[in-house]
Formats: sequence, structure tokens, C-alpha cells
Amino acid sequence: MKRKIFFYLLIFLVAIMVGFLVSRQLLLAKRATQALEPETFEALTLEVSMLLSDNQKLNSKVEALEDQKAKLSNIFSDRQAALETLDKKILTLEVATGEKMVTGSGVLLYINQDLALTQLVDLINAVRNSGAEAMALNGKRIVANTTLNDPVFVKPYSLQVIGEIEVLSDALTRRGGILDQIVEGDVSKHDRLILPASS
Amino acid sequence: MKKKIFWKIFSQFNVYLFLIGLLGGILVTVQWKVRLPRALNPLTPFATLRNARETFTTENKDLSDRIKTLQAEIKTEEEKAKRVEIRSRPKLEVLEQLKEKSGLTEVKGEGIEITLDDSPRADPTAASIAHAADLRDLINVLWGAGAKAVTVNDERIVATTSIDSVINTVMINNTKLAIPFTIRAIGDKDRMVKTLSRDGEIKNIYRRVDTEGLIFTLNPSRHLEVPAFSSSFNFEYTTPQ
Repeated sequence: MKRKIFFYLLIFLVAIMVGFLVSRQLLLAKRATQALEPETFEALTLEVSMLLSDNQKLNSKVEALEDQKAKLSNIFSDRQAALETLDKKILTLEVATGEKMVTGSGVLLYINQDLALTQLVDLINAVRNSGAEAMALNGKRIVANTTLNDPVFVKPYSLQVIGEIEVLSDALTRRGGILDQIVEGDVSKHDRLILPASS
Repeated sequence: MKKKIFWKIFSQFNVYLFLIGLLGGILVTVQWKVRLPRALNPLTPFATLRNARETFTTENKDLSDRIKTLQAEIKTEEEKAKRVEIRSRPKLEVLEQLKEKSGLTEVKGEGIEITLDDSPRADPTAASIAHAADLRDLINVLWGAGAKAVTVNDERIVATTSIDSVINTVMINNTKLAIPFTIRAIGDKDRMVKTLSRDGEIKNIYRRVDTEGLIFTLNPSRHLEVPAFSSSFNFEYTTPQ
């Protein structure tokens, strides 16, 4: 009887121990899994480290791109400024060559007498000397290579001159000036003269 | 027969005892909190690491978006600069043509070289010396003969050039020039020679050559070179339309 009781007690204790061990093992495994979530600490650390490194590289790239953008913006501004300078130069030379019709303030010289070719040459020279920026004689634009030996240039002469009004007027009408020397003429001041392009 | 053996085993008291013991062991263990033997990573709190990952992931996305934006902006700037460059190319060609026409470039080609100098006679007269007026007359004739470019002592004659006497010198383009005067003209040399011949348009000069000894020579050449206008144009009152 005693042996039987001992036997039963032993079985009972063994069963408790087995139950203890089995459930402990199961709980440990679950706890460890919970502690590490779906990823491992090592994997997470590696991921964070890679993100940090990637972000550093991306930051460098952003800096480089911002620098490139700033330089391009400067290039555009410079080119835009260069284009504007180019436009101004073209306009200036279009005046010099008579390529385009021009307007401006100046004087109108009217001469109703015959002029010899040499007198006409001297007159135009004197007007240039007075600071004329653009001229037209009898409706024809005078530029560098305009020859004054032209059938258009006969009396009455109407010479339009664009430039500083007072300087032009004084130079033409002063004592000893060109009009005093070679021929009489009327000088009128105008705020806006229109000169045609050279043909 | 098997069924009987099965029931015989499970009717035994010790089987029941075993099962009860097993259950008891399980219950005790569950009640008793099972702890891990030690911390897996005591240095890096897991929650902080997860937060860092989220922060860096957001930053990574923001940086990637910023890069895409910058690349698009750079492309826009490149296109703008290119458009300006494309617009400037034909204008550069126009400018070069205008520079040539206005005297701002040197010119080479056939033409003639004229020398005008005072007479060597001992008692000079008004007719025996070379005047600014002579230069003006000669240049006017040269333009009429189709000259493309003209210089006097290497001073290019342009739209704003006046030729004036200043005591015993001549002022051209704000530069004083003295005799002998060398006029170079690029153009059809034969036509210019013919226009400047004795039967041409400068009979007055030839008369003074004959009577006063004024020096006037004409040299056609296949290869002449004239410099560009050395100054610039500045128009304050004139506006092209």
C-alpha cells in the first residue's frame, strides 16, 4: 500500500515537473520573440545605421544641387545682362549705320540758295563737328559713306539734325560759324524730329 | 479488443494522477512570471532605436523629394539659359554685320592709297598746302566711287567723323594729324582710280598739283588693310524706331 502511494506521488511530482518545464520553455520562446518583435535588434541597428549613412549622402547631394542651381541662376542672370547689352549695342550701331528710322530732339536748318558741292561737304562736316548724332538732308539719311554728289541734294535744302538742341543751334548760328561763312540759313529747334532709315 | 485495452489503461488511477500533475505544473508556471535570463541589448533601448528609424525614414523621404525638386529647378534654369543663348546667336551675327558696316572692324581688300602733301616749294601759298577741305573732298569722291572703308593716317572715317583744320594740323576723330596725309580706301580700285583721275571729280587738286606743286599721288593695290574705328559711338538724343 505504501509502495503504491509512493508510486502515485512520484508520478504526480514528475507530471508537475514536466508541466513546469514544457510551459516554461513555451513562455521563454514567446517572451524572447516579443522582446525582439518581427525584427532583430541587430537588423534594426543595421537599418538605422544605413539610413543615417544614406541621409548623409543625400544631404551632400542636396548641397551640391543647390550650389549648381545657384550657379545656373547666375549664368542666366549674366546671359540676360549680356543679351541686354547686346541689344543696346545693336541699337547704337543701327543709329550709326542708318539701319533704322530714328527720332530725337534737334534742329532743322533750311537753306534756300544753291550750294556748290564743296560748300555742301563743308556744311555737313561742320554739323558733324557740332555733335550731330543723326542727319537727313532733303529727306535722305546721311551716314558715313553717303556721297553728297547726289541729285537729291539741291535747293531748297532741308537739313534735319538730331543732337543737343542748344549746342547745335549755337554752333550753326554763331558769328564765324558755318552759316556765317558760306550761306544764310534758318535754324529752328524741335523737340522731336523723325529721320528715315538710309536707303 | 484494442478498445478494451485503451479503456483499461485510462481507467487506471495513475494516468489520471499524471494528467493532473501535468496540468498543475503548467498552471504554476504560468502564474509564476517567467523572466528572461538577461537583457538582450542593454546599450540601445529598443524604443529609441525604433524612433530613430522612423525619424531617419521621414528625413530620407524629405531629402529624396528635395532632390527631385532641385533637379527639376536645375532643368528649368538650364532651359532658361539655353533660350537666352539661342536668342543671342542671331543677334551676335547682326552685331557683327553692323560693326563691319559702321567701321568697328578692320577691312582688307583691294583699293587705293592716296598721298596728299604740301608742295616742297619754298614760299607756300594757300593753294600749295594740303588742307582739311581737300581731305573732305577726296573722301566724298571716294564714297561716291563705291569705297567700303576709308582711313586718313589710319584714322577710320565713320558716321560721326568730322575733318577740321587746327592751325597747321588736321583733327580727325579727336586726333591731330600732320602731313603727309595718307588716305587708304578699300573698294573697286579701278573704279576709284578712274573717278580720281584728271578727267574725274578732283580737277581743283590736279590744277594745284600742276601750278603749285601740291603733292598728290595715287597707288592702286590688290592688298590693302585699314584699321577699325578706335573709339566708340554714343548716342544720347537719338532713338531708333
